[in-house]
Amino acid sequence: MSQVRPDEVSAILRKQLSGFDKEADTYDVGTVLEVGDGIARVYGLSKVQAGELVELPDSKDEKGQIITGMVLNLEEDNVGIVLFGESSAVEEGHTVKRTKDIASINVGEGLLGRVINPLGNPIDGKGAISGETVRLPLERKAPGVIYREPVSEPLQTGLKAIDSLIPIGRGQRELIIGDRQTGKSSVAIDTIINQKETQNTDKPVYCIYVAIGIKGSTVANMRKVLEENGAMEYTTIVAAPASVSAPMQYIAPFAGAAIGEYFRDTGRHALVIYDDLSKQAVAYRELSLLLKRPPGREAYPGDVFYLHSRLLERAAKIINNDKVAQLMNNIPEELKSKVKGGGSLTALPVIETQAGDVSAYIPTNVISITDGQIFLDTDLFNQGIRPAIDVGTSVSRVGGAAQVKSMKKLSGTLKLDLAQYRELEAFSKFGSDLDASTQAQLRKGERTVELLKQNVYQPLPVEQQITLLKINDVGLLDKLAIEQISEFEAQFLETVSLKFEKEMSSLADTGTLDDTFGDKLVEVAKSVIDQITATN
Amino acid sequence: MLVSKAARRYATALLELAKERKSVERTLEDVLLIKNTIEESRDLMLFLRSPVIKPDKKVAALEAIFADQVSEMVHRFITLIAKKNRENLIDEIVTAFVDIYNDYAGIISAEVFVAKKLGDKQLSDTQKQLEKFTGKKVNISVTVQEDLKGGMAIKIADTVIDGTIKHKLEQLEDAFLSSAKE
Repeated sequence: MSQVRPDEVSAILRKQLSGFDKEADTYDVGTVLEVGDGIARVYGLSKVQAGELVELPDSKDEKGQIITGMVLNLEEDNVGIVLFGESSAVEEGHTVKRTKDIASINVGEGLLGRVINPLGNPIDGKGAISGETVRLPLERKAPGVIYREPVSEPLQTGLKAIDSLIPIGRGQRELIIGDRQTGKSSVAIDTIINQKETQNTDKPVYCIYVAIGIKGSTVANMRKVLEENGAMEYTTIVAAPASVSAPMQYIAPFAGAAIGEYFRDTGRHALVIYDDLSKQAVAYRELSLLLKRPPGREAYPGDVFYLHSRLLERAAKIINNDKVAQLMNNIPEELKSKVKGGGSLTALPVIETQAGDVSAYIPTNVISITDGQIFLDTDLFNQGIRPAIDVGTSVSRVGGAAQVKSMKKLSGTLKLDLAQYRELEAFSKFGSDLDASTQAQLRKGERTVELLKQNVYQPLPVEQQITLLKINDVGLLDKLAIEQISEFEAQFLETVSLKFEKEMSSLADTGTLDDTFGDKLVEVAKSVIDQITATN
Repeated sequence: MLVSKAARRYATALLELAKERKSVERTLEDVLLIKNTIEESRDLMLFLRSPVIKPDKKVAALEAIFADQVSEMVHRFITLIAKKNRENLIDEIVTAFVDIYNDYAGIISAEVFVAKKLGDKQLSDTQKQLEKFTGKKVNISVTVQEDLKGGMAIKIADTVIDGTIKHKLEQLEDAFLSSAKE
């Protein structure tokens, strides 16, 4: 809590008292009929709206805070509400009060660098959210087709394997899918860390990390990693760890989307990560079953597809025309004066599969909603290929249009090389006698796979990725043993950044690798390779 | 009180029939008699609700209590309820009947919460003001709650018009606390 200076106290009291009117206050009430498992059924509240927040002034948790809830079911003779606090504090007969406020969250620049709960209250002990905020609804219709644009700007993840083969554009929705312990969250965190370099440009990407059903310790750890890498300054963490109630886990992604939309609609760029949506679906299933909605496949309610599709549709690239953008549908009143075009909201939902089964209900749903998926594989992870991206099954349906020019050129041959290598790899296991060209192809493939490996929390700027892929493209790496690749990578990048500072920054700006600079790079690579082979 | 759908249907049927036979006022009197009797005698309520006691015994008891006092139609209604094994619903049915009758007659009931007992003049003034405000006949029931400290709260259906000192103090507390956080 911030401090109030003594001389200010009386002024504040005066101000408060002057606003204290004698008018009677009018509100609508209902009575709790039954309560349990985080759900309460209420009699009365006849004018309440679906999705509205309600207060239970009689029910207070141990901190003395009034318990709130959200209306989910409107039935003939009662109203079903989900409780955000402990349901043990709620008793039969307690009063329920309407707030006339559809579930919303206060959003502003002050959220950056903070950890909040899905209702927008800070939980990092750093006091109230500072600065101006606008109140945005959690549930909001996605922008219509006229207000959208195709994806055109890249969102660099800093991971060689993704930026080259499965490029992501701003405004895209790319699914990160895989079993537990395959590095899904690491891909997401790397992407956030890599947005640091955009902060100095005129198009910074603000990040929102929504943690749903994750261990509290993991959330704390992620925050530490982001802080150590200087990424917390432009990131908000919406935390709904496993310990919070199912309603909180259910609304957490919508809170993240609302924050992202604030940046999107004010003409800026944002990245939101939903980690992970399978846990949110489980929380929603719990709520739905308790509210006695009929269960469907895998006991999920019938609208679980719509739950995810309406959430992910809110990721969009907004048309770069302020006039058209200001006409956008469903803009909240408070935000109207601030709307600008050209913004974007990129979504990276995460889905956890069980034993690699992508044909389960939730994974197939989300795969069909998103614009592609990054598939992480346990076997690859155990072979030491990290990030364990299965390049064969991963796709990006729209990101290619946003890819940097020279990267696009290099990635074409890279994809082909990898595909041929995988085919030969399976084949070569049977026999030892292989002709020279096959052996050469295998050799190149092995080195390419090695080159695409990357340590966690060490994203590479795109220009460095391009130079490395260029060297691989001309086949220079074949001279090195596989173990020497990482050594080469480090030395080469160091030399290049020292020698060609100007060229590298122009490559970063324009995205084109001209032939003269390409030749110079090859020269440098050759000398580095000679050095390495000579010392060993 | 939450009234089940079945009770509401029985009550609607009774009112419709009473309207048809132009004996609404008489029926209301009878229903109020039953309502008051059940409300005053907990034993009767438990007796009617008990699943152990056989329906024909309940009918016999209801007959004995009400047969001479109610109109022939209400008498037949009680028999019907008993025949359908709904005698446990009878208290809900009479409540529902009064609700539906009030709707039909344009009467609304208002609950008034005050800290101290109201004088007759205050009560009639309140009633007049409420009738002017709602444009309907108002049935007032007064509840005295000392912790309200002062002022008055009026609850009509789900809406509360709250002018009590207690509520004002709570609002003031909220205002001070929220400004301290900023």
